Amino acid sequence: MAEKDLKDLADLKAIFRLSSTKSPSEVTLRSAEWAIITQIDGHKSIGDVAEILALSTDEAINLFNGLFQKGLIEILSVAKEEKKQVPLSFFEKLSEELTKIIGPVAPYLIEDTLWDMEIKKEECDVRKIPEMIEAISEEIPDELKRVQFQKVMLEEMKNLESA
Amino acid sequence: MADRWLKEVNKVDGVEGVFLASSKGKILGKLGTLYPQDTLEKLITHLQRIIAAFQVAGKNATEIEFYWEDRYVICKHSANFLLVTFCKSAKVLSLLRITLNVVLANILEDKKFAKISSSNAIDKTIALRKGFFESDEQLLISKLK
Repeated sequence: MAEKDLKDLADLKAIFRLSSTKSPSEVTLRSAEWAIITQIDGHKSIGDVAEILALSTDEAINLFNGLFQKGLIEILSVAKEEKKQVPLSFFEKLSEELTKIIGPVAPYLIEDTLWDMEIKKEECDVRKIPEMIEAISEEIPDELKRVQFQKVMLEEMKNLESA
Repeated sequence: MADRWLKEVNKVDGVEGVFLASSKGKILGKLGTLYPQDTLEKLITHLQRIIAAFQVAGKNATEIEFYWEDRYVICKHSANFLLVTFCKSAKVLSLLRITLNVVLANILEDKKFAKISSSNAIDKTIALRKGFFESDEQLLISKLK
């Protein structure tokens, strides 16, 4: 099981316990990994630990993944959160709005951002969208245009949530 | 007045409270669960000093974010006012930052609010000349020089 990537197995609701066969003192750990170890109690989920340690979702999952690969933690329960998928029409709207702001490079910027965030359009979770919009916004140098883009996309995000 | 916009921020999941303060330190509007008035005033002074320190150094800090008492504090500011939000969850920070940018732009377009906030405006650098500095404030100012 440890050979598999944790990212495929669990998400923020997964709960872990410390390994009964391997102790953290047997390996060298970074301070962030130690911080995770101190929080694992068989009750807190990845999401809970991320919140307590002020980690982003990706940071937390990567750190848990590292500890899992080292055999220091074991999965206690995997209650995969239900993903709400983003419809492809959202990306069309995104491309259309971004093109109005930055011109024909918009689709390339969207593709680059998706690539950086390891997101596939076909299976994109709604919860990833604000982070993606924020990352794209950072590439808009004009402050007024950036806010204009965020205004439109904020409305689109609200529509996604209510859909 | 700006209540509509404060509501917009406050309804983001994980946001506990939000307030608007003039650069004089007067609270112009608030919503949600917030700290007592005196704590908020101390916080405003602290934020004003950070903004002023950057201003004196010829830099512009448009947004200040820090983690304080188990909460994320995000302060957006314009020439005449501060918009300060307390948020419990890291998961919503991206959505919250986007919402705050949009809300700030909308508040700036509100002529009625602009009138009130400008009548309560003050040169932020005055905050740097008042009272004693705490060690972390001194450290920041020395780094900016």
